[in-house]
Amino acid sequence: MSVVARWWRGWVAFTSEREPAFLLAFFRIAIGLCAISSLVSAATSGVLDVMWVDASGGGALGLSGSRLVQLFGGATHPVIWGFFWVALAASVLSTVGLGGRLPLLVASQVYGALVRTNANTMGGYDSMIAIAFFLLFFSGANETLSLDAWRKTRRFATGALVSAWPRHVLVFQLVVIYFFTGLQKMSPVWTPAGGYSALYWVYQDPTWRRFDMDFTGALYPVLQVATAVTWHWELAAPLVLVWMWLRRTSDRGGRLRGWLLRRDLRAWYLTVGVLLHLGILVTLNVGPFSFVSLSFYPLFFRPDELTAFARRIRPSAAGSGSTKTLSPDPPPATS
Amino acid sequence: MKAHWPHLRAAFVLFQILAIATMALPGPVVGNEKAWNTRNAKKDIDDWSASLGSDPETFRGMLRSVATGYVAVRQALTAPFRSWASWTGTTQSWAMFASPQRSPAELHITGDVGRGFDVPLYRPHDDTADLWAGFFDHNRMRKFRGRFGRRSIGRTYDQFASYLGRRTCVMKPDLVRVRVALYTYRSPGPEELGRGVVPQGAYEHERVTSCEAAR
Repeated sequence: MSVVARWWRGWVAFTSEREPAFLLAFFRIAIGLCAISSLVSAATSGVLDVMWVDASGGGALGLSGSRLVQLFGGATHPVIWGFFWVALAASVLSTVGLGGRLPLLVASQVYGALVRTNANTMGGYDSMIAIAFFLLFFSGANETLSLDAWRKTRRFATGALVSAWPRHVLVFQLVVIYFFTGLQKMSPVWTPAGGYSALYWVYQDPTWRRFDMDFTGALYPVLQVATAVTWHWELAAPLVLVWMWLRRTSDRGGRLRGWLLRRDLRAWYLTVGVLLHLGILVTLNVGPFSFVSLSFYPLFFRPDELTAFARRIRPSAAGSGSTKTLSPDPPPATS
Repeated sequence: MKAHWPHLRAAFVLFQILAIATMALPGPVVGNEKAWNTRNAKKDIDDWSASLGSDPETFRGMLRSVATGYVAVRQALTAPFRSWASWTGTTQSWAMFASPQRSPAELHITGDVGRGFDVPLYRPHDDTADLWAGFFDHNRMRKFRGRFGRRSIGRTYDQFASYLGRRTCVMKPDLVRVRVALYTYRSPGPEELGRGVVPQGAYEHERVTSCEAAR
């Protein structure tokens, strides 16, 4: 068998794996709540009326709207509010897990189209929410912790198995986000050439900070360390994937692999991530970015790892009942 | 069909993975002429050339040349995925705090009750000038305001300043004129901040609305 054919068989087997649905269900609920909060906040703060509705409808700017919005007649008051209500309804249905996969696809497309009406008011978290909904559409995350599950089985929590690949792609997506965010920090202030001073300058700019930051002058060395940690941490994101691959292929042995697997590099990486996101949350107002990012973190663990963790901290609550992790589809036919 | 399904799924996942990885390659900003000419970009390039000991213009020319080649490669790499990413809303653009402002531009709104512009109505983080604070404190409006400092001022700024002027005239009936402007200054360094240096700036891009016409 050629190398390519062998690789392809391995890839098909990998993308055919199945696992308990509860992890993707938690993620579905977390992303749904972030989307709801983002939408409600835009509507109640006046951003929707002023920044997303065209000037002819009372808004501040001349806006044509995104492709989908244009298809419905452009960024007029009724169209934008129509998109808002559809996005909100789809997000609520996705959160409670009612209506199968369709609400996830609708939430992805309508939320994305609404926020892209004015790209100048759009944040990275908007793209993350739209992408998350889109990938969840393929996942079967409604199989547990949902009204759909309750309708089918009269139980909210089931031991249903779903495809694992959406979780893997979501992990890859967050790694790509962190890595390319780091790669684009090309200003010298993020690097030793600029004295790792970036966070100091971020805190001097009134745009994002939550409160007066004059005290940061005295904390300059601390901010230099924080800048260095942030930048190198972002650039190191792909190492987590390497570590996860090494662990997955641990049966191949090797001294370096054995040494690297002695520590849970992934857990350390995510712990630093939690601390950085908490720092952002406390000091900067960047909307639900930290909540959206942290929603991805449990996906780095297999469901059986989380079940085992839950057992350790609370023996009586052993998760959703299934500890089965890798249960592939019937093997693919080979031609 | 059932036998082919695992292969189709594997092909789709591979396509999605490649789409994410290639579409995330920095592109739109690198190829944007305006982005090269912002205050921040010029400062970054000057700082890099200074730390590398090269002439700023030569360094800028070399960077532009590399960027042109890079954008062409990126175009070729992303070609199979652009339509998919665009139609599914899964475009990848992840530049966050790439180049922090060292010369912020604050949006200020000031009123005139008939004796000149001496009524501060809105300034960021100023409790004595918080007419629009609830609106401007929203994270989406912070992003919007911040972009005025990073990018060249265009039609969007004019439209927004006009809107703010008209609305402020309606909200404050005693005003005869409203001025919207960007207050630009150089952020103090850590030592200056320690010495209590207060940054001195200047107003730029002033737009004045006459309330008589606006009401």
